[in-house]
Amino acid sequence: MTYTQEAKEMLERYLWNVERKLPLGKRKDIMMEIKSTLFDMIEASAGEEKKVSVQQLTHVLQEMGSPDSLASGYTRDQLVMPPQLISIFKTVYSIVAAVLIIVSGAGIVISYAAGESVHVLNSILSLASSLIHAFGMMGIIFLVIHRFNPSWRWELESRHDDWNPASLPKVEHMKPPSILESAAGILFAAALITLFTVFGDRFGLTMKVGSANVYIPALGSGFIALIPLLLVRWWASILYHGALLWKRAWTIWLRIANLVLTAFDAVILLLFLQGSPDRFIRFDLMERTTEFAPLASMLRSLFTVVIILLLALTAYEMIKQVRQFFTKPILKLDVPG
Amino acid sequence: MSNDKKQVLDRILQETRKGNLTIAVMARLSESHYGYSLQKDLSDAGLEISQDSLYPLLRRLEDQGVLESQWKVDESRPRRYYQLSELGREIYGDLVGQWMELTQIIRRITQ
Repeated sequence: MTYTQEAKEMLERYLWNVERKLPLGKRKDIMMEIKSTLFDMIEASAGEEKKVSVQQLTHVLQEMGSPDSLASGYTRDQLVMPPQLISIFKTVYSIVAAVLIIVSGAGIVISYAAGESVHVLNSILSLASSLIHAFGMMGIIFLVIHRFNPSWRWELESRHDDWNPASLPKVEHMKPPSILESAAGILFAAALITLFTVFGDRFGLTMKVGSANVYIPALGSGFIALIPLLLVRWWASILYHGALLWKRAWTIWLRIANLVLTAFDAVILLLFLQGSPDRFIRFDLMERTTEFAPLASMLRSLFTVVIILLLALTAYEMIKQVRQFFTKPILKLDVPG
Repeated sequence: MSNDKKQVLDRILQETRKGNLTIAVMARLSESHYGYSLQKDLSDAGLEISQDSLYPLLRRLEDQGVLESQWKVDESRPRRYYQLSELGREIYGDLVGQWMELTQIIRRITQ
């Protein structure tokens, strides 16, 4: 069997859209069976020519059913409301969650600008509580809507939809891992490990305090306490980048590892927000020197801002990675030749 | 036909077909079939069943122990073959008996 490029893309889009809607536990097995049937149907429709065009494929896919309709057959028994309503729930909840996150972020920025003490951890916990609360409230509202619009109405409506395979969302693939980035990641982590294990106690500067030259350590007790955790993170980074170099391609486990490492970064950054900046970097000692006093005072005020910015970037990266699990698949098409 | 009437009729037909489809599928699965061959077989016998109804039904019957399945990989592509289990055969016998009785009653009522 040969497929035109357009037909191959359409098939890929269809399979991906079905797969992402199937129950996670049985996904692999169900997909294998769906593919087996689909290729049987395609083969039967291709006839003697053994060449599959978009028109033929469109016909087969329409006969097979839309991804929503096909997948809902496997999930219908496990759902508290019909898939069509769940899809609306997801959209509305995404909007509510985005508003809550923006309001919460704006609250932190305004408090900080007004010179009030900012408790980032408390704000994050409060945001998490609001998100859970909103989820529960919206769940109740949607269950009430479902109560007055029984599921069969939703199912029938979806079945009567004339669906067109050409309108399926396009599959976005992950960019292949960069060898250069992985090598740089390993070198960077190795340099940090060496720096903090061999020279960990030598971070500091000899500065002038009054008329005497005094050695001032740069790292505070808070930072020193976090070094074992940082070492774990850097070793994990070496293993992760090593695996990427070895595999030269994304696997589901490497993507999960990437997400876990990013979450680990977020935890470390949160720990850097516990207590005064002087616990981590000895700005207080630097302020006693003649040369560095103004710089130290400026760096201290920037410390919290930089950590919050890094935390926001890390959170954004985590959201992006979670989203990519759904939007950028590792898809094995296995089209029979 | 008004939209509401059509919807209600579709729903009732869907519900009526559901139980009968189970019997038809079980009847054909006294012999081993993979999904597509079963669908063709039912279609040749005059019973159309869509993929999005057939496969979930096969899964459900398998979960209930009525069917057993196994993958065969020695053909042009891997295929999952379904067949009635021992329990399925016993249930099918009882089911057909009760279904015959029910259709006779329904016929008497509707005449």
